[in-house]
Amino acid sequence: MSGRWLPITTQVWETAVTPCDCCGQVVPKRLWVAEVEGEEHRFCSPACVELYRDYVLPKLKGEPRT
Amino acid sequence: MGIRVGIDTGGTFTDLVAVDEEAGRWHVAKVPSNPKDPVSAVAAALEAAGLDPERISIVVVGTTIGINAVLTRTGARVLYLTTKGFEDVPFIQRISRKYHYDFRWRKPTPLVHRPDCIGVDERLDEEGRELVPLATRELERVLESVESRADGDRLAIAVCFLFSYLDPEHELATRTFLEERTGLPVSLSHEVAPIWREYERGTTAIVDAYLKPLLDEYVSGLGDALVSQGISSRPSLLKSNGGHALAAEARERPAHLLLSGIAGGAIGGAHFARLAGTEKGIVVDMGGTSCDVCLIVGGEPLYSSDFEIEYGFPVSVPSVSTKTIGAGGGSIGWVDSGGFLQVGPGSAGADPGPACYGRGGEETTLTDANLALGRLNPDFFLGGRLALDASLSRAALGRLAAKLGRDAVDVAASMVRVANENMANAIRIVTVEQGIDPREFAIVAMGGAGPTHAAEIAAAIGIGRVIVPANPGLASAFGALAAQVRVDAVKSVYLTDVRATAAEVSRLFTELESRSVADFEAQAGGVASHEVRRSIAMRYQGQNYETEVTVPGGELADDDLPGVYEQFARLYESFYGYRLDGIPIELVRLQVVVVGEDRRLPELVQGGGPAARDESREVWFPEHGFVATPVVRRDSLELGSVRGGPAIVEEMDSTIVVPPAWRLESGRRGVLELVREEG
Amino acid sequence: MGGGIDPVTLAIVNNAFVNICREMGITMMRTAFSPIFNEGLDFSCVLFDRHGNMIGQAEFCPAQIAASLFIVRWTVEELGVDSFEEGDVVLHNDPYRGGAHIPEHSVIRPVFFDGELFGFVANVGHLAEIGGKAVGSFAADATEVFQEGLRIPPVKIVSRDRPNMDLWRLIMANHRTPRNTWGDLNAQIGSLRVAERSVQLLLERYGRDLVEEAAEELMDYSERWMRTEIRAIPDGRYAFTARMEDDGVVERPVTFHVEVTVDGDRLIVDWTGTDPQVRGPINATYGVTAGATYNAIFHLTDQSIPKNSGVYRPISIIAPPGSAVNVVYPGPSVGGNTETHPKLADMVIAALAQALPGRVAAAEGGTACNFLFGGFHPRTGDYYANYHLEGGGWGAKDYDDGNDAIIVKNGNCRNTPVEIFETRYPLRTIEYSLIPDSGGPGRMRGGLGTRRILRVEPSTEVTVNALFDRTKPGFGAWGLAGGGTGGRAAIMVRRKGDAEFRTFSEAFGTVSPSKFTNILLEEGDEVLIDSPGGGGYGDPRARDRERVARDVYEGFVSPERARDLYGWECP
Repeated sequence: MSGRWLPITTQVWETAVTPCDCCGQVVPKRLWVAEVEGEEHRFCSPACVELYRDYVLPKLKGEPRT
Repeated sequence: MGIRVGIDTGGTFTDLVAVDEEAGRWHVAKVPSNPKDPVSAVAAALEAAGLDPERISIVVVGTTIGINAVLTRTGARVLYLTTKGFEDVPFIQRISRKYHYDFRWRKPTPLVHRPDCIGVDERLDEEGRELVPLATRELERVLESVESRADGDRLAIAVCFLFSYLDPEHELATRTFLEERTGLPVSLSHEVAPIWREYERGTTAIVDAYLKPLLDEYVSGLGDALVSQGISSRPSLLKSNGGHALAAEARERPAHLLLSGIAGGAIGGAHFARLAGTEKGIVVDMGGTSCDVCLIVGGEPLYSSDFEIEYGFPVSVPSVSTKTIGAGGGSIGWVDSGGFLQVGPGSAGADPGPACYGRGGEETTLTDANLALGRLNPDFFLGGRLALDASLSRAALGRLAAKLGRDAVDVAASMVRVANENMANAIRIVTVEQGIDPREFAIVAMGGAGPTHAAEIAAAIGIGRVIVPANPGLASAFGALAAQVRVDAVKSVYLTDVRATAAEVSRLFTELESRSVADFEAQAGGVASHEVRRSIAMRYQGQNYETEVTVPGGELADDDLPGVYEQFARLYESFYGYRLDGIPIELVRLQVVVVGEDRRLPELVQGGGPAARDESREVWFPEHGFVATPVVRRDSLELGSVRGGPAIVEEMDSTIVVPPAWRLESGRRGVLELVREEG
Repeated sequence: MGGGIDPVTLAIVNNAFVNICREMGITMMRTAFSPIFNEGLDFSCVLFDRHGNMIGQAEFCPAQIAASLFIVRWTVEELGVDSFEEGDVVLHNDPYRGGAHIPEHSVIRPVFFDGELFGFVANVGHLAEIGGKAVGSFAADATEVFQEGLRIPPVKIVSRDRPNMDLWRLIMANHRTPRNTWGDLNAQIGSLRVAERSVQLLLERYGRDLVEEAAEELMDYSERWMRTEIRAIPDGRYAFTARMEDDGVVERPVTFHVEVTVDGDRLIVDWTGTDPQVRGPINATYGVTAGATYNAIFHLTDQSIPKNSGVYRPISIIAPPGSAVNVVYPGPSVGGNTETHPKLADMVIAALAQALPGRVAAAEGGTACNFLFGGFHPRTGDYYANYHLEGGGWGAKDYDDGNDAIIVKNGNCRNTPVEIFETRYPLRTIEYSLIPDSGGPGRMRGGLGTRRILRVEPSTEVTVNALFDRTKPGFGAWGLAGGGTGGRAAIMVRRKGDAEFRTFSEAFGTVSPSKFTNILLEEGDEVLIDSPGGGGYGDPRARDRERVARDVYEGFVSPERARDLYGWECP
């Protein structure tokens, strides 16, 4: 799976956490940045890219699932 | 001096143990139980024992009649009188669920019907002050409700008013009035269970009323049975607290007899632990369907008041604290949907029983596993009274093995191991709940199956010592015999170390004690020597669970109390690893125990049987597989003899397994010990 | 079994993992101070390996199933596994970092064996009072996390077995009943030491290699079992939509939507379509939404699957950040755990009703009826705070009625006995009863809700807060398969001298009738609390006549309603 790990660096006054673009769970330390259909997204893990590609995108496009 | 008799009426057998104190002789008997007529089995056991009726000084009976009536819902119709506005408390209960994720679970069904829960206009506050007086007019209204329901059912009345444990006047007045006008039995919550928490107290009062008519009949029947055997002494019943009381007294508080049939095991276990010279024991009383575990601390069983008939259905009376696990000889081995081998809690019971009984049982039970591993002797089960068919065990194991894709011996060994680990885990939980390290304890192995499994259970917990009484299968009846008269009295209070004065605590104890001694004398049938113990249940303010601290008898001085608080803090620290100095300490319950003096029982005779023959058979042990193992009869063991494992010791009602790394010591006093070899 | 360890040893190691967690829980129950903690059992205990996998758990409160799964993993990841030393304890309650809501405090302790890190023991517990705008820290009209209580990110409250007293003092200064906080945190931390010892004993007995291998295999085993369970559900997409009456700040219903996809041996539970994050505190954290999803699935699958990280692998959850099912900083969320969780769980169950008709249940009451109050006790002069809740009716099933008066499925608390309640707080209970006819009608009937009436004692005043739902028409617990809706909840007041009970909106002008803070009640004022009934299942006219007759005899259903809804003729 092509993509790269992006460390999350926060200042001491930054107390919010970063969620995953796809599933919404917290990403504590590093993001998996990957391009899906020409658009860059920030995921919690490479596995979430698959969920995005197989489930979320087809749903967004209104494609019938097989 | 005379003959003392202890009887345990179990589901399958009624056991009797008697001691002739003059002759120092023991008598035992085992007869089938008769669930439809429990008294007849008592009579049969007495007859079978062939005792001289005129010399019988006391008969103590442990009975399951109360718990059975609750479980089968065959008690009286109860009218429940309670403070107006709280009639639904028996239905609402405590709102928690038995399991987190189970739609199937049903709340306990109360022993009362909702139209039979009658509100009474009266009210006390949290300090026992009267907010709404109980008017005679109100009692007359209640009387009408009661009379309109008297339609031929067996009726009994239970009364539970809010805060009655602080001031019982309203409950007492209600009973006086209703007894006089209706003649019905009336159970009062503050007498049956003088504790705070209205659901628990009310439910206990309901159970009490529910059983009263039944117990009356049973006790009359028991008296008649003794008379018909020519016995002049009046019968006593074993109570849930492991003490015995004259049946005529005990029947006044049926809720206190609920565990009568279980308490004997704990008392017997404690007796044998002391006999073997230890104060710390874990009684493992394993029979055909289940295993009762009870801790012995300071030479006595642990007590608690939080027994539950089922989840959410408490009977809050002082009881020996016993945990029942679904693990017995009849426990069934099965494969769960995840592919794990499980044993129990389902049981083949006594009928059809294990496959090897040859009564049509198809399931693979722990007894079948033990038989296949050579641990049981097919020709000497129950002393040879029940011939076991090993081929049926093998066939049953084969069926289970096929599901697991393994061989039959492997499955049998695994079943034994799983069952042992289940029991070891249950024992660990029981000890953790008490803040106790189990490794300092000895296991007291009782019941037919206890001695077969005890050493391996002990090893799994890190315990190195197992005590096996003589006639392990009769240990409950022995407990009924060894029991003392015992009264446990409790008073809920609401004091803190800041507010409590020695004078007030002393006064409350004195009141509680004089009532308890009076009860004791009634239950003993006269003045008898006794010991009084006092304790206070305490906790840090805000906590919900208490630690019990012993306090000295007599008048307390003000400077005695700080010592009591310090003792609490130390006990707390020893359980939990820290103390919370500076936080107020609450005194929650005052407790008084009045107990008869310990009776010296003559030693059970050990040995004396024919000398050991050179018998051996192949027996399976973990890490060894099948090993040629000597087999001896218990009555052939010489007093004081020591032999190394592996060994099998057979006796009339049990089989003792001595694993390879253990040795067998035939101690004095009829007690065998298994000791783990060092290293 | 695929792996190298025999199944018996596996089962034994699994039991040991669970047992260690239970020991931890029992220790806490016996030593904690807050009633919600020691009587309500609102806590959970977990055991983790050093990679952040949960290998054992004993949840005493289902609300924390997800929170306890994520908190340790995310905290270890955030701080870095190397930052843990023997004897450290990390504390945190940040709702945005995996927690269910801010009152829940997690403590995490590393377990070393022979000088090397094995894993972590941890527990999550609900502290009854943690500051914020309203006593009891259940600010039903909060608009930001800062009003909900003191927020603590992962910090070392104990370093190498030495308490960090500066931190303790900071916490004590921000809670209203600091003594209880002191007792509760000590109970939590103390139980970790008990668990640490037990883990070390287990490692001594079986050896580290075997235990680690067994943990791996057990996770695979749970995963396989869960996949088998999912495979038994017919493939398809199943959706359900439900509403809550308002968020406590804006008087407008909030809509939740779920779509469950069953695809062979995996499940996707997608909450997209739910309303955006709302102003008030009924937002669910990610931990709540995931917890509710798992709670529902556990209700529909075999209960005995060992609960470790493996069991969650076949389940994907999508909870869009910034929506009412995944609140982002600094949005409020304290009510999401008690009010939103049960509805979300019941929604997943309802969505699967067509697929699993024999296993599901209609909706339960679904509000904890959170009622919080505090003040100075007239007898002692001490400041007190109490978190009070009620059980409601549970939903009926194809095969049986729902239970009466049971706590919401995200919790498993007991009620407080009236005698304990009155001993501790200056409120008199006038009535505590079942509400006849509150069970949703059906072939199987929903369980009944309860009514409680409290009266403020003489010479005192009490500050009250409430966080309820389901008080408005049209928001009751739904039925299934033609079953009817359960009775509504109520939180009402009768001022001294007033003839009748009114809503708090009528009496005090609160925006929401069911969610408000800081209302001062005086001597003789009365509060009425009705918990809702559960939904019914199936057509009430098809109900077994004996069951109808028994309901009428016991007074669970009135003769009129039996006649009108069940078509019952009085014999």
